[in-house]
Amino acid sequence: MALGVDSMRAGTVVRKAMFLTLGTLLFILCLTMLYQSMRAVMDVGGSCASGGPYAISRPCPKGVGWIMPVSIVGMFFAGIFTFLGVFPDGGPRPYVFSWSALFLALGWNFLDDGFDAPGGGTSAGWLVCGFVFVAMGGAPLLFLLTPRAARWSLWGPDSRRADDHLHPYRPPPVRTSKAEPTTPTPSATSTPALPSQRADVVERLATLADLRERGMLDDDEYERAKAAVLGEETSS
Amino acid sequence: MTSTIRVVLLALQVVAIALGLWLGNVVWNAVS
Repeated sequence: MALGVDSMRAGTVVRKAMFLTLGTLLFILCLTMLYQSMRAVMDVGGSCASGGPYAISRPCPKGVGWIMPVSIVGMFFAGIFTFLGVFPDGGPRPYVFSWSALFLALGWNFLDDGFDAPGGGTSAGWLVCGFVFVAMGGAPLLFLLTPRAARWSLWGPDSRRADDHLHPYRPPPVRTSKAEPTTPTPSATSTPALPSQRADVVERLATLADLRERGMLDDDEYERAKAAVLGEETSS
Repeated sequence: MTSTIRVVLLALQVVAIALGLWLGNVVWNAVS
């Protein structure tokens, strides 16, 4: 164990922690730039153009033309860094919140300018987008914020529990047939053979009684079969 | 994985979020 992580060298732990942190930082940085550039475009009416051979009636705010595509691509690279940095045994999994973060942030923009459009009044189109985005971003959170999912997402999977020493693994008992005499094994984890034999005898007696009740055995046959079963149990 | 390293990783995530927010606004203000 190095730096608190099983079967991982210290250098690997540091590298993964750096990738995990860098991935989150890059994602939030790109999301912030996308959020700001979206607000800038909505402030000029919701659409703009830049470049090309035609006369542009509504040029894009400064920087929007490259910030939007770069921030979107940057978020994908951030996801790659995050996956490289996630620890299999535990630790936070920030990527599970990325979908909600994206859609809630952009949905807020739609609602904010939808209720207070740049030209005055409300914009039904932006409000519809806003409610849809908030629903898409908020729905996963209803599950992610449950105690178990939140624990998995922020604390990581529980590979070990504190009370593991109270519940050591015990292999299941082996049922032996009556034709093979069992020899008790000295292993501390083996189950004694006698209780399983008794259970087998009881089961066979119950079967014989059932057959007699259904008329498939008469009284003499039942008594002889019962004596045979009890005789075997006594001799074993 | 010990609790200590998990807490450290969580704290790094909080720092990354705060730093990302701040850097994103700095970059936006610089280019816009």
